Amino acid sequence: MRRLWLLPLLMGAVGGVVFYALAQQENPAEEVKKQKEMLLKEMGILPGDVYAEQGRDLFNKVMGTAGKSCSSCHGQDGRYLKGSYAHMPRYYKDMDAVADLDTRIKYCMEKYMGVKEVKHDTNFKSIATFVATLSNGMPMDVKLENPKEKEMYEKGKQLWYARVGKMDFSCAICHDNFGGQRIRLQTLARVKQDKVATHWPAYRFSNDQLWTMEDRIRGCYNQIRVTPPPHFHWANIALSLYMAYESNGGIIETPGFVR
Amino acid sequence: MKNYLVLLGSVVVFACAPTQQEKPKPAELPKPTPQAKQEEKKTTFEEDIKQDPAQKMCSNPQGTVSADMVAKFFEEQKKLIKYPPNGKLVGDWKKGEQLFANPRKGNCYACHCADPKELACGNIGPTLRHYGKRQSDVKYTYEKIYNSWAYVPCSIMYRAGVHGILTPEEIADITAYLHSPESPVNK
Repeated sequence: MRRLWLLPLLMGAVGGVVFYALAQQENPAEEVKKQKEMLLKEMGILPGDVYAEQGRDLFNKVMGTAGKSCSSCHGQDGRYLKGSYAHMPRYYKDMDAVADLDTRIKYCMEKYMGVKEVKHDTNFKSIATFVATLSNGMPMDVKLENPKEKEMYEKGKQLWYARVGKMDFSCAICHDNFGGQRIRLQTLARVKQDKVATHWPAYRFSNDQLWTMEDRIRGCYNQIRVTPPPHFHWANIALSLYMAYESNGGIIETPGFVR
Repeated sequence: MKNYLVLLGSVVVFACAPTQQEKPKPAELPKPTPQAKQEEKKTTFEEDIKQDPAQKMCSNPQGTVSADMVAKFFEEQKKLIKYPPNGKLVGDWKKGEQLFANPRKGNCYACHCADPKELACGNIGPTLRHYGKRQSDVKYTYEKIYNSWAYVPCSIMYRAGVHGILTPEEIADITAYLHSPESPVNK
């Protein structure tokens, strides 16, 4: 936990910055840029990067009953995992299933490291973020080669366009048709045009939390009054795969920095 | 010493943030009661993503129904509209004002601007500023809020009446809020 002492300082800064932004009510793209600049100026590091550093430490730390760390298989600091996130979600032979970042890490921890009841908490998300950063600078390159990948992609596409729930919403209606416009003061992401899958996991300055794509998907469902799928549910994997494939060619830059 | 510096840093950053005094506060969000929260949590994702026939028809990349289906679609959607038992489509605009803003009820500001005092309004739907001055058909307003899909196939505007988010009486109140010359929407 090399940089843990930075956290209280960061939280203070984030609080101040968010407050400042609320008072200004400015153009959202400008707001993100300004927040980032201010945090960098004050701290020299963004909160998301602090989490990623924590993730690196946890990655190298022995956990579970098998006496292994992630690095026992994937190399110190995950040097054998460089570029892996660019092809995720994908099919894994040992699982005989398609997994997203979260689900794959959970599987590894449980199956190979002997960790019991893996929780989707900040430590877990920090590891996920660190793994994603190992593909930074590379283009997203998700392939649909395995039949299970194709099937999962189709499921994701179906969910993307499905009008559901009490609000009759789909992912598409907000993030294709009305992307770039505002719900209240919140600008809707243009998921496919802007290839947003390339910057998740991300640090959200509005609630000072690290989120993986699963958290983002669950958050969206919650907002349209649909009970979110639990973590590691196929719906998260399907939508993650759909969005990642649609983001192919975009340069991976994690952790993202979003509102 | 390091700790002091950290504390000092936080305080300084907070103190430097400008105050929000000059901006009007957004309306306080009424918190859902614990009971209401529990009731919502009862359903699962699988149950919640079950679609009605109209939702199924709208679930495509075009975001609408084919031209030859539109008339039939409207007819089906019109059938879903119910009216207040007393037959009054225009209710109490002051109640409507609350319902319009309440995020658990109309939540209309998510997409529409209306009262100029509310700055936190979305721009997905058209602005409703001075709505009553350019629209006199209250039946249209009522039906549009009750079931927007009776007028625009697969509209992004959710069918507040069909899904029971608003009762017929509540929709009549919002209709009043949009049409009344007394309402801040039309001032």
